[in-house]
Amino acid sequence: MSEQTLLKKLKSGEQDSFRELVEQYSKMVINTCFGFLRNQEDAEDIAQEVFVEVYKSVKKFRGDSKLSTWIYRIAVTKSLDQIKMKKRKKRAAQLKSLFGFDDQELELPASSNSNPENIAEKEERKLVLQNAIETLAENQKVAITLNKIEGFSYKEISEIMDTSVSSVESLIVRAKRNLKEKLTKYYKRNL
Amino acid sequence: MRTNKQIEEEVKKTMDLLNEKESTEINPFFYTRVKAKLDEVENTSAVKEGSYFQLVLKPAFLAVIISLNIVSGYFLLKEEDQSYSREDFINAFSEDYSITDSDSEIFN
Repeated sequence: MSEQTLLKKLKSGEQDSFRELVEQYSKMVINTCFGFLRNQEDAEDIAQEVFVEVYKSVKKFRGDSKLSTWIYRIAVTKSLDQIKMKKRKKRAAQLKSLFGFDDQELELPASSNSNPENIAEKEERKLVLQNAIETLAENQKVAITLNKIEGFSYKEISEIMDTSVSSVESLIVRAKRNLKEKLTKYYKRNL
Repeated sequence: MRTNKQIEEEVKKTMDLLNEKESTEINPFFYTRVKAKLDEVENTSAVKEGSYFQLVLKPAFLAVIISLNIVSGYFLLKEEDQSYSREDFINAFSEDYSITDSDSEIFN
């Protein structure tokens, strides 16, 4: 079913169209969320929220962009919100443990405190890379995740991020440069 | 202490992971879960709409009624303060219709 037909059916509230939408986009949406969250369960939870949001706001969607672009935009926003929420929780847990109110296990920082002997080298590397990506500026993080991890083209990313192709290009160049710097510092400290 | 070359190699190996596309398995019950979540959200919002009247509209309506009572009470009292005595009324009436003192006795 074409995007236009699907959109029409969704707007008219046809129940089957929603199933069609989920079946058509679930893989891409879950993968997009996974690209940011690096956790299967979280990715699925957020993807569910993405589709609920799509269902609730499809009538307001004016069609200025493609339906898929709009859906990915929601997926990116929700994933970033989830990351922020997790960071807030982590900070709160750290504060709790600092003041001795700790009643839950703290998530270990993945870099120097994790034990490389117990983790496969590639997994360790992935973790290091993910941590470095996490520390990038938000727009650089989105651009590099969508491009390198999700395989979106610069044009697609520019549509999702609502910016120009040249901006995306420069964001990715800066993101790579910053990642290299961060990783160099990391390996200087940890090798 | 590692050399710069070794560090560069490590960085390169890690950066190369960026080009590896990782794909996730899709749960076959994903649609069912989305549908369940959607139903849950819709039910919650229906309850919220109900409680909206309970929590917001009801007290607001009550506040409006009380305010109206206070305002009307205030005007009523103000009006009473301004009310003329019988004497004032007779004087004003006689002035308006140029009735002399002797004529005004008809009121008494």
